[in-house]
This record gives sequence, structure tokens and C-alpha cells, in this order.
Amino acid sequence: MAGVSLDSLTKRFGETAAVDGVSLRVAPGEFVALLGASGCGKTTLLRLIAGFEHPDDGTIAIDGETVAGPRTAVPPERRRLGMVFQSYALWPHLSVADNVGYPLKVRRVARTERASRVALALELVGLTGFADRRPAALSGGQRQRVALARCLAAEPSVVLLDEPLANLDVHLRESLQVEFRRFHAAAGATFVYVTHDQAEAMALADRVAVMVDGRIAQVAPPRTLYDEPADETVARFVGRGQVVPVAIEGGDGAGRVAARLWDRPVSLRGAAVPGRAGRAVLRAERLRLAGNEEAGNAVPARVDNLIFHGPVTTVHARVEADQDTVLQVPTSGPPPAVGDRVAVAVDDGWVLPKPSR
Amino acid sequence: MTTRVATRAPAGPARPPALRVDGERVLLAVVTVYVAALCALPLLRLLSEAVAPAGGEGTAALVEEVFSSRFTRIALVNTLEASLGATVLSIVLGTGTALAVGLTDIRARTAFVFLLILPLLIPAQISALAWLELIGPSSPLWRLPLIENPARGGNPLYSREGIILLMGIEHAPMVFLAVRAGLRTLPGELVEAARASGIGPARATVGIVLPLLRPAIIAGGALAFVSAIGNFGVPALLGIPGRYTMLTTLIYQRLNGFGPSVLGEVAVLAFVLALLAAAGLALQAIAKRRGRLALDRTSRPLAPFTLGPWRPVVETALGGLLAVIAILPLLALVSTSLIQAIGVPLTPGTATLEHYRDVLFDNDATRRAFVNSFALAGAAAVATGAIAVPIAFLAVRRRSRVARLLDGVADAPFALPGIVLAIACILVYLRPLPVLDVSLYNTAWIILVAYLGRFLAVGLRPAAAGMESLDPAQEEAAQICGAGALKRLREIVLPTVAPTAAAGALLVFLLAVNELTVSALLWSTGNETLGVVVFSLYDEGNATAAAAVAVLSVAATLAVAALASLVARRLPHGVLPWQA
Repeated sequence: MAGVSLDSLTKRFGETAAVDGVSLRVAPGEFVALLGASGCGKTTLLRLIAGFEHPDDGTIAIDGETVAGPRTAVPPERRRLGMVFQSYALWPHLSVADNVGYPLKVRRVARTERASRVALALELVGLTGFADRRPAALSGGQRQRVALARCLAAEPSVVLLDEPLANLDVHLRESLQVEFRRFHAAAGATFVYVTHDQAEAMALADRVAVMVDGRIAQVAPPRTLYDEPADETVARFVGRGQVVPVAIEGGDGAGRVAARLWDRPVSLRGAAVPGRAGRAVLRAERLRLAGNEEAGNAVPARVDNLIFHGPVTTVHARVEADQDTVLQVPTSGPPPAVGDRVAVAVDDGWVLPKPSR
Repeated sequence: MTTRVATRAPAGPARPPALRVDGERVLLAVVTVYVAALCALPLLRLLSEAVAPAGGEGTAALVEEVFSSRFTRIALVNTLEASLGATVLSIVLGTGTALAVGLTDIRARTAFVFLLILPLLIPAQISALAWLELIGPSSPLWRLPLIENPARGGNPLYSREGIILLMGIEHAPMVFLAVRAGLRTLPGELVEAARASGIGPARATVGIVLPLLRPAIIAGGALAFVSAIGNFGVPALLGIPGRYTMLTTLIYQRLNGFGPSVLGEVAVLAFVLALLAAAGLALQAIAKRRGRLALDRTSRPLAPFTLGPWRPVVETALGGLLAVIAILPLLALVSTSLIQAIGVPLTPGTATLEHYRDVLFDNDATRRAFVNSFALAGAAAVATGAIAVPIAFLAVRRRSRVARLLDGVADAPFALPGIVLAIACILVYLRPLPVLDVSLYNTAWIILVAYLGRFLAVGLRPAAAGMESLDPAQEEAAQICGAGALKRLREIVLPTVAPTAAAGALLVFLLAVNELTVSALLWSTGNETLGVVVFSLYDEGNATAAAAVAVLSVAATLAVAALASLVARRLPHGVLPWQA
């Protein structure tokens, strides 16, 4: 097992910095997801680790050994990594077994050992019996399993995955997500996984690094990322948080603050300085339509729109005190009508430590 | 290119010390030497000869001397007038047939396309010979009832009009291919919108389709013009007997008559030819760019117009036209190769295979020509296929600026007239090679060297297309597995692009085996090529033997083309020009 450590990495393409001063330490055996919208630099960061790109600044160390830096550039083929590509990158002229066995062949592993390791890898991904097929004769999901088997057969200590599930349909994606956790446990390797799908990142990773404009906005375990986003961008990107202005009044017990939201008293999580105006993230599942008895503590709003999802209906409630803000409130009971006056109760929220980016 | 410069510039000290693996550097050095020696060196030598002639009399004096000759001026005027005439005919034929095939619902499209492209596969001297036999005094055509023999007083093709007709037909496929490619990128909605507003198919074609195709027509026409000014086979077989001299035949006659002593003078003529070609190519490049700008968004392709009751009429007309321009001349050629002697009518009783036996076994020169042409074309095909893969790899996959420059340089010897390259090669190789102290002139090697330079572009295009269709991740995956640069090239890249590289090599073979323009100036006794013997047998008055050689080379050509079509199933679309 080997860790990966990135130190002030910068990679520019022309005038724009695709990766801008990124530092990140991935512990041996850890599963880290790089999450971000397209163009945020996550794939460039992965390709820097792989060695397909060379940083303009900063260093990369794998297992304590510097592989890229001002005076070092170890080529990809000598970094002893595994990589899974979005396009699978199977070689069409080789059989499944030859694809999986290629990294072993390159490393001059003896033929008999090679055969047994290929068989083992194919068994792990559930493709025993497909050894003699050509990649063209496989489905998309099967191809991605072969790509994974090829990566695992080489027993790399660091595996890089570049949106490996992006080309698959939703059902397949979910079943493979479960398997990816299993592969990670079985391989015992360090995984760095690039994705734009926050649900995928949260489901798979030990820690998620959210990237925005070439920088890492926050690195945290999925639950922390969801509950305590570092800034507004992360709050909005992860779990579609609703960011609202709050006035902080003072402490409210351990780790909580008393605040006013559109002049209604609310209790939020956070450690903010009293008297300061700030912003808080609200999660839809911690909002509800309040009954008449609570109306004094809830936010008055008017129903703008209703969206039916099956188990719940999302009420789009336009806040009366701030006509630009529409809160999305789930309700499972009989929904109000469009145009009705409602009151939105805020059961929880998180005061953002940094006001905004 | 500019973005890459910008990419590199701010990188400063972080330039990766060992990112380019040594194997690739060696490869780049090898292909650079290859392209520099075979493509760049001869043309640069020709340029230097034109700018600073070896005789020391100065460029201006030499040019003045060359153009003070009435023959030169006539040849220049003839070249321009015949080439422009032929270009107009090519544009009419090529555009008309492309519209018929691409815009209507006629049947048997594949067969039509093949027949339309056929003139590209058949070298100029052979189609000239075939037409001469078709129109000539002994043509079987004149034995049909109701057809008057116009050729009683000599073959009417021995004239400016004959040259225009044949070059027009010969180069029409270039316009056809360009216009068909243009039609494919035309958004179908444009025509549908016209038809929805009540405009009929004919008016939509004239008012919408043709104006949009103008860049494609100009590009194809410019290419046809460049081919016409460089054409040697047609002016040689028709113009020399008809006393209609063009620049190519003038160069040939001067060099043939006076030997290398007139090299400085013919170099000026070759340079003029190269300038004319460059002007045509520049026009083509501009038109192509225009075409791309006008129609960058492609949506649904154009739906063909339904001809309804007119369909059989159009099919018959097109079939008739193609029968006359593609099939009848070949039949006349076969017929000539089977008659006992000129003037003897062909009947089942008089048909003979005598001439085939003669050219294959008895005549030393033709026998040698078969061996020479197959060996030269085979060697050129193999070498070109082998060098095209690394050049395409470095240019397409590595985005190496040097390799992309080489790719561009390789285009020049093929785009310019073959006779220009031949003169350039004589200039370089007439004097003994530096270390070996042997001259390649008057050996088969100078022909091979010229072929390698001339046909590199032909082999390079398919290899580059194959390389483009290769997913970069496939190579990166191998790199992650630990495979070094040369190992990846051998085990991952080569197997996937091998079919396209092989198709490119077959195209090289096809063009080289029947080639005349280059070898007409470079051949020597013992080193004849098939193109040369067809020409000289006809020149000697032995039309029957010439026809037999021509029939055999056409048969070989079609066999190789069929072989290429078999490989074609594994190729990216558009590698073989004759596929529908």
C-alpha cells in the first residue's frame, strides 16, 4: 500500500490554470473521490498523478517517492499505478484474458503465474468464462469489469479511476458502485476516483475532495461534507443545499447558535461570532410546512409551484420577506394549493464558516 | 498550434526532463531523415536551381533565355488553355454525376460510383491508348451499322480538343469526390425548408444546393486543374503525334533529345509548372476552408429527391454516359490486344493471344517492365506503409510539431506534378552520392527514390486516419501497465492501425505500378516501367503489344483494388476513394 501526496500542484493550459495550487494527502489504502463539475480540473489532477501531464509547479509523491516535480518526471509506465478509464480503453485486438494479462506480461510475470492471476481477477469481477471473448463481444458493463480486472490483476498499490461509470446506465451504475467498494477492500489499494456525480462520490469514498475552478474547496468524509460544507459552493453542489442569509445572535449550547432567519428565531449548527450577518445552508429534509400553532417561529411564504415525486411532493415556497428566495419543502401529506399562504419550519441548518467564495 | 505554444511558454523551469522517452526521439529522428531526404531535399534542390542556377549565368538570364524560345511560350499557352478546358469539362462531368448519385434516388449506386472513380485507377497513358483505339481507324465501333467513321483521315484525338476531352474525363473523379463530400456535409434542413416553402427539386438544386456546393466545386476543380497541367500520359500519346506541345511533353522531349546538358533549362520549366500547381493548390485550400466555414454544423444528411417516373431515364442516361467514358474505351483496348494486326477485324476466328505471349515472354523489355514495376511498386508500398505508421503516430498521437511539419512536407511531392519531382530527383542524384561515389542516375534506384518521395502522402493519409480513430486512452492504458514507448507502438498501436496502413500501402502500389510521369524521365535501358513500355510501344507503332500490356496492368490494378476492398471492412470510412 502506498499513499499519494500532492503539494501545491499547478497545471496551466495557456492562460488558465486547470489545477491551481492543489495540496492533498491520500493515506495508504484510502478511497478518495475527486468531485466537481466538468472543467473543474479533476481529470487534469488525475492525469497529473498518472504522469500523462507534467505540473508547472509543485510536486507529486507516491509512496514517499517524488515522481513529479521541478527536477523529476517519472513517466507513467514507471509509476506502477493502475488506471481505469471512462472509455474502458480495452485493446480491441486482444482477447479478454490477454487484455487482463497484458500488464503482467509487460512486467515479465511467468506464464503460469500470469494465467492464475488473470483467472483470479476475472473471477473477482464475475467474468469467469469470458476469457477468450473479444472486447467487441461484451456489453458496456462487462467491458468496464474487464478494465477493472486488468487493473486489479497487476496488483497496483494505487489505482486511479477516471469516471469509470459515466458511460453506463443508471441501474448498472448502482450495482457496480457496490462492487467498487468490494474491489477496494479486496485489493487493499489506494483509490483515487474522479467523478462529477456527487451521489456516487458520497456512496463510494472514505473522503471526498470537492474541486472548484482548479482548487480544492473542501476535503472531508461524505457525512461531514453534507452536514458541514465549508462554503456556499460546496453547500449548493453537494446535496443541493439552499443557502439563505441569517443574523447570528449568540451561542445556543454546544456547537449551536441562535440566529434570526427573516426575523424568525431559529437554532442552527455552527460556531459563528454573535452579531455578525452570515449565511446558512438548509437541507430540504429538515424543512417542513408548519402547523398554525408554530406559525410564530416559521417563515411565512406563498406556494409558487408543486412538483409531485411519488413519496413526497416538493412545495416551492416563495418567502414573503424576500421575494427572490424560493424554499423547496418536501411534504408527504395532502399538499397546499398554488397561491396558498404557508409557514416553513426550519428544524436544522448549518452556518457556513466562510461567508462565500 | 498557437495554443500549444502558449501552453509551453509559461511552463518555465517545469519542462519535464524525461517525459519524452528515448525510443520516440530515435523514431522522430529516423522519420525526419526519411522525409527530409526523400521529399524535401529534391524540391529544395529544384528551388535553389531556379533561384541560383548552377551554370552561373543568373536566374534572370536563364529565364529570359528559356522564354525567348517560341516553343516554350507556345507550350505554356497550350498547357494553360488545354488544362482550363479540361477543368471545365471535369467540373461539368464531376458535378453532374455527383448530383445524380448524391441527390437522387437512383439505384445501383455502388456500381455507378465505382465506374465514376474508375478513371482514377487507370493511368492516363492507358486511358489515352484506350480512347485512341476506340476512335481510331481500326475501331470495332466503325463496323456497327449507321456509324460513320470520322477517323478516316487520321485520329481526331491527336488535337487540342482530344487532349481536353481525355484530360477532362480523366480528372472528373476529383471533382466528383469533392462535390460528393460536400453534399454529405450539407444540412438536409436547408433543402427541406426550401421545399416546404413551395420550391421544387430542380429549383432547390439550382438555387440552394449548387451555391452551397460552390466551395467544393472550386476545390475539386482546382485539383483537376493541377492534375491537368501535370498530366503527361495524355499529352504524350495525343499531343506529340498531334504536334500540340505542353510543358510536360516539352520537358520530356528536351531532356530526351539533349540529355542532362539541358537540365538547367528544363529545371526552369519544371519550376514554372510547380508555380502553376502551387497556385491551383492554394485556390483549393482557400475553397476548402470556405466550405468548412459555411457549413460547420451538420445535422441530418440531405434526403435524396424522388425522381418518380424519371428515375429509369436518369439511370439510363448516367449508365450510357459511363458506358461511353469508362467501359467502351476499355473494351476497345481489349479488342486491340486480341487482333492479329491493325486493320484485321476482330472475329472469333481471328482473335489471338499472340500479343500477350509476346509481351510476357518474348519481348525482353516488356518482360523486364513487369518485373521492374511490380518490384518498384512493391518496395515503395512496403517502405511507405512502414514509415507512415511512425510518422502518423508522432503527428497524430504525440502532436509532435516536427512530425506534423513532416506530414505537411510529404504532401508536396504528391501534389506537385510528377515530372517536377522527376527533374528534382535528377538534379540531386545525377552527381555521385557523397560517400559511396556511385550515381543513382540511370539505375532503378533513382526511380525507387522518386516513388518513395512521391507516394508517401498516399500512404500517410490512411495511416493518419487510422491513428485518429484510435482512442488515446488505449495507449495510456498500456503506459500505465508499464509498457514503454516502442513496446506500446508495436503491441497496441500497430495492431489497431495495421489494416489502414495496409490499405494505404495498397493504394501506393496501385499508383506506382502504372505510373508514367516520374519514370518517363528516370528510366534507362534495363530499368523500364510498365508505364514507359506502354508509351514507347505505342510510339513505335506497336499498338497491339501496347494494348496487351495495358490490359494486363489494368487487370492487375483491378485485382489489387478488389483486394483492398476486402480489407476495407476493417477500415475507417473513406480510406478507399472508390467506396460508395
